[in-house]
Amino acid sequence: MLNPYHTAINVPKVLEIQNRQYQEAIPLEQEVPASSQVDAAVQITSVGNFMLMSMTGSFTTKYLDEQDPADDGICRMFVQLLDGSNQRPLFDDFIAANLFLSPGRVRAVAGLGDPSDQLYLEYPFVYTFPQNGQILVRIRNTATFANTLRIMFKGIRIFAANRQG
Amino acid sequence: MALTPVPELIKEAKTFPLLYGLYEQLITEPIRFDSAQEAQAHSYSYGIRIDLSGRAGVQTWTITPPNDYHYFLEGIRVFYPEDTVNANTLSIEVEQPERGRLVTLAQIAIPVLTTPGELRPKKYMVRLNTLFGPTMNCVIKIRGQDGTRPAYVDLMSEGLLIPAAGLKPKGLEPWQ
Repeated sequence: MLNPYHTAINVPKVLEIQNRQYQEAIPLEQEVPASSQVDAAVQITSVGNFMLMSMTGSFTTKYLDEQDPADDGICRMFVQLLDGSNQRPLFDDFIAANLFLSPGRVRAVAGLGDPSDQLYLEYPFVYTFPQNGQILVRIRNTATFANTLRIMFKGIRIFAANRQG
Repeated sequence: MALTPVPELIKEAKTFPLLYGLYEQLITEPIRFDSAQEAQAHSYSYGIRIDLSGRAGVQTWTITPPNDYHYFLEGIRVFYPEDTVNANTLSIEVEQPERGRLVTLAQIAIPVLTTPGELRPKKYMVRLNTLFGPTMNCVIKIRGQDGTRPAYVDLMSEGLLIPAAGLKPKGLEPWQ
């Protein structure tokens, strides 16, 4: 049997490129107390630059119904994305997490509310974070109960030592 | 004799090879960090939550790219909870007032189904692929069929922020 991939892929060339850059996913998880705002950050480290290509993620939708925690599916988490190395905003303002995160809402209380009904589509977002920088995520929770936000940053790590100019 | 107006899409198509070129470079060649920084074109998003509860009339949201930057608007994401008990229709209109007249770039009807008691988020994407110059306004209007609306609508733009100096072929503005 002819394996077309065997002839189509130049393995030494691929390995050579891979030694300079490779795909990487960087996770972030942050719980935000009720009616408050926190800065969460992931470090790019000194390994190399990180070219962000897309994001996925989820969030909870809890609130306090009188004295009891409840979950109605309404997103009360708002996010502003920034380049932490120079404080450059990448979102103009705080944006509701339900707009750019899939699968999006996850149930926090068993049996309550609808599932997210979200398509599992990545949110494309291209930006290069320099080595030793950070992805800064400013999260505002307007709910009367603590909520959790999770984001997976998917991109390409570019070794600083092997970068081309 | 009146000049035949050039269709807007043909004008805007001139900018596409530049943008495609950027993507092609990223996809087909090893990524060069320095050149990526030099281009400095990167994703940028605007967002807003518009409260619609109990209001009649058109709600307007305006996006204005900063000075010295173009904004290539790839699309508008729309999200709202289905928490109304009356059948209704929302429409999204996107306009560029600076073109001398209001140009409706998109007009879609979003059906709001009637399922009281259940909250089922609806998510839509309006593809636009339109370039806005520095300080040009992108006006997004949310128009309801009547005064009955969902509680809120979340809007978010997908797009690229591009330095104006990098998009001026032969002295022309990109949209000319």
